[in-house]
Amino acid sequence: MVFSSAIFLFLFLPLTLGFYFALPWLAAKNVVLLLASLLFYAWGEPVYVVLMVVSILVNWGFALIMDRAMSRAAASRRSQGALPRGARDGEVDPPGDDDGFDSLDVPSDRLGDIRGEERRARSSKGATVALAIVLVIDLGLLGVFKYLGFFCAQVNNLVGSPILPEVSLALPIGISFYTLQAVSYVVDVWRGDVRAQANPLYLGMYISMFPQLVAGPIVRYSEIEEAVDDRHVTLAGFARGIRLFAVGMGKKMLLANVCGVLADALLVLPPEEIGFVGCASAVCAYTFQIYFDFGGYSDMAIGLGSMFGFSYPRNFNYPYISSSVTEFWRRWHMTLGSFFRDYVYIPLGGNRVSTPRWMLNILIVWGLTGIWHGAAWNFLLWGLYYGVILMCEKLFLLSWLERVPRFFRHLYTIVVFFFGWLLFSVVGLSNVAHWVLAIFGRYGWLGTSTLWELQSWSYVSLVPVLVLASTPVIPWIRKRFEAWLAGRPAAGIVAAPQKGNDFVPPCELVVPADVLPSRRGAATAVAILADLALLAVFALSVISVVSSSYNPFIYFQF
Amino acid sequence: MGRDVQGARRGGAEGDGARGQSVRDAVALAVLLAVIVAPALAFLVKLGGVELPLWLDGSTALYLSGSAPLSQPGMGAREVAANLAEGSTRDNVEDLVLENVPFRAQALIANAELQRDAIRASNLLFDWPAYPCFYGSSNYLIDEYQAVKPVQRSGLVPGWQRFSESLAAFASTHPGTRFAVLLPAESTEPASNPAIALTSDGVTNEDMAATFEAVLGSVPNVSVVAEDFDDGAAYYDQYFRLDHHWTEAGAVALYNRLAQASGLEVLEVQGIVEQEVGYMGSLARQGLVGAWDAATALANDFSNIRFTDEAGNVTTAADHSRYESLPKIQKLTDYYSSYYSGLNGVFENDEAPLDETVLEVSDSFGDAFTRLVATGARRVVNVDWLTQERSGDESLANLMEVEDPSLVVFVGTPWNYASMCDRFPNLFA
Repeated sequence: MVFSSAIFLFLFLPLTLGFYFALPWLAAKNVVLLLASLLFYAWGEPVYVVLMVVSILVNWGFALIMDRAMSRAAASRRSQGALPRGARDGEVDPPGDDDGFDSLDVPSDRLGDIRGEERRARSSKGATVALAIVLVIDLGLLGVFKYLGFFCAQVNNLVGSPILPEVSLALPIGISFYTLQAVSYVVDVWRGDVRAQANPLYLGMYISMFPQLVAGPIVRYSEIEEAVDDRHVTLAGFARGIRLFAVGMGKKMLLANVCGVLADALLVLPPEEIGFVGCASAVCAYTFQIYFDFGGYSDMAIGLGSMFGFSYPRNFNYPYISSSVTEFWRRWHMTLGSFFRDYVYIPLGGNRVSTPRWMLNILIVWGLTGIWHGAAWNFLLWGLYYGVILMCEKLFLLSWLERVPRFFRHLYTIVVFFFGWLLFSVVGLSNVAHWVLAIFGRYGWLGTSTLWELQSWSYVSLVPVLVLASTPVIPWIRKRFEAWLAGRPAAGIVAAPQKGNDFVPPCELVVPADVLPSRRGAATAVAILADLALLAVFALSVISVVSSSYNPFIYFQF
Repeated sequence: MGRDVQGARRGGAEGDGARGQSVRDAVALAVLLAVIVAPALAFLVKLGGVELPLWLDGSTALYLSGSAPLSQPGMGAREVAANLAEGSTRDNVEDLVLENVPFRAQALIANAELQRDAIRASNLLFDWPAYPCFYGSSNYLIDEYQAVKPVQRSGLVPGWQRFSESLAAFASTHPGTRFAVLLPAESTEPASNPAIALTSDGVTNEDMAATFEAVLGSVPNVSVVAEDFDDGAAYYDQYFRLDHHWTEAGAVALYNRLAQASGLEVLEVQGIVEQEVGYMGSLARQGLVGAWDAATALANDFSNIRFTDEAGNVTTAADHSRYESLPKIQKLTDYYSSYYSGLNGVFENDEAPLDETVLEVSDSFGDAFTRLVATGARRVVNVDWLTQERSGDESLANLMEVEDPSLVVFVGTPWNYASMCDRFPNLFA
């Protein structure tokens, strides 16, 4: 089931909200969410829902085993007088990720904090063995369903004969996302960052939670641990959820799907047929499509989470305004970046190792990031492409770029992610070279087509809308207006800072507490106008939902 | 639900700002609820036997795609459940939800109209004479004629060649029978459809006729009857602007060409009648253009032509009771196929000058055409094989043996000719 479908909007959502708010007890609400999430998943994956349930039970069981082993180890050390005060039953450090949206750079003091004295005190060999087993199971399941077919095919190709059987398993929707959530959970339990959840229904709710189940954001258990046991839905929180949901639906239905029509039509054609114009407009269309599709999905997920009282992490922060690739990856799919940072890059040593090893760590992380997106050489190449560019930026390019005017830095970043999306979207590695050649004019402006039949021209009027919607122009206006309301200077306002940005839905006006009395009327009028604008977006999106056939989100395939 | 800290922050814990924010939040909640429960309410109202007005009823949209609703006013819950259980329950539930979304037909058309506006805005720079009806549509709006047309591509040519070669071989084994291939200019007339010239491989009726002529021109008992028009306006006198079919006046024009080539009597048009309800044809529906043509037919009297359908029911070629009995929305969206007598059957005209049997192999272009042929021939047998996919023993040779026609007429669309030999491999066996 997808958020942008009639069945979700008009049947699943009202029923789930109805049951959820009709039941007064939190435990019952959690069960409603679990059942609703399983139904949500089973609607599209009636068989593989069993796989997810098994994954939930396995992770629940092994996390409990780890937790008990660690508690026993802590008790044993305490009896030996070796345990510092506070390192008893799960009194752990808060999650260390307090540095905003950095994806790969490790602050110099961070590694030392990762495992403190108290956590070491709870460490246990038994827990480590349990962790190893559950990781093998989690990653093994992902490997079998996502990579086994690809692996067998590559081995057979390499050897030149079919020594391995041809494996063709359908990829369970969302397995890449819920596996990462499960991995983060068991690793956090092992690290002592969170306590194991004793109730399998609650853990099931966390892993299968329908808003973020199939395409993220990747929510860590530590981020919702408190909310699982104690949360309150407020009118303001619910309304903020509605607004975010409406914004996300607008991105998906009104922008992504429209761009997708052009991208889908052109990306399947041979580049010699569509020439430079066709290839360039296909990749441009895909560039906007994937951002509004995935960003829209994330907004809808976060909005839905908010309606049920959960606060999910932000996943996108206007990535296309970046002026370096390093910045781009601090703004794009932020929860995936932080997952790989905390669970792969830092354990490998991060940047606190020799330079060659540091570069290797970057390549490993980006190779994994690439292959996480799919079992295809394109994705691996795409990941390594970014890995190499990030290595260059860290070694010399960033310092060089800082001396260049911002416009050229933007241009450089746009060119990099344009070719990145080309690698990502063109099917088959052998086609990539032809597409690159077409971009460089090998097949002429139009190939064998006419400009009219390429249809790129029909999107010209949408380009300003797409560009504006990719930039934080609305938050910028909003922040300046808020400053004006309070009589504060507007100079120095940054609409979308890389760190510490308060995630407010575009169009939602936050009237400052210190608004000048003479400007209260203006604040109210603009707030109403903003809501009316959102209402229009919502109405148009609903119209689009009921007009469309099945149109899944791009990230469903990963 | 209470107010939270953020809510308090937005305007101070006290004061108008906070109250105003709460009101706006409550309105947002009310709007969401109103939207998401609307289909359920509409469904319950229908189950209660209340017939919703067409503009409100979500199932109206189904007429745009030619499907039937799963729930009808007054239908019991058990009946609806039985409908849901037929086929894929999951798909049916999704369809049931969609067909109960109020204003859905308007939403479909409004969504396409919005996209069309964006396309038109883009076209200000280019000034193309034709543009897509919406993003991704393969039907194009032609501003000059307020018409919608697709473009037939050169990919059809191999199929036409195959059809022609098969017919040439077949005709040579039946030298005593005349064959005629009629090529209606469905969307292939360049003056009426400027989109053809904007593509790299669009084909015209001239291209189509040349392809057929190249193979069949040398076969003595086969004639190719194609159309040509002086200009686009003349074309739209004979073809619907918003449907791929011809009007009956267009069918007469090609019939008279056939008549001249085959010795049938030329038909004189005695006037045109216009139905009360217009015709939102297939191209308007596919292109989601909220407009319609005049639904027209000949004023000639066809009551002397008997029509016997496959089930043996006998009526006349002037019988339009099926059309008359339809609700308005179906009249609007289904005029062409419901107004004429039908495809499979036998038309007999005791007063016709030619005492022979004509076998007509057609697709829906035959709907308006067959009764015209029956004005000139005593007996016309019509089969809709040009639309069919058949793999059994049926073949044209077998049918000819039974019906013994002196003339076999093929009348169909470019794409049906192109795919005929794949869909019906035994046709010319």
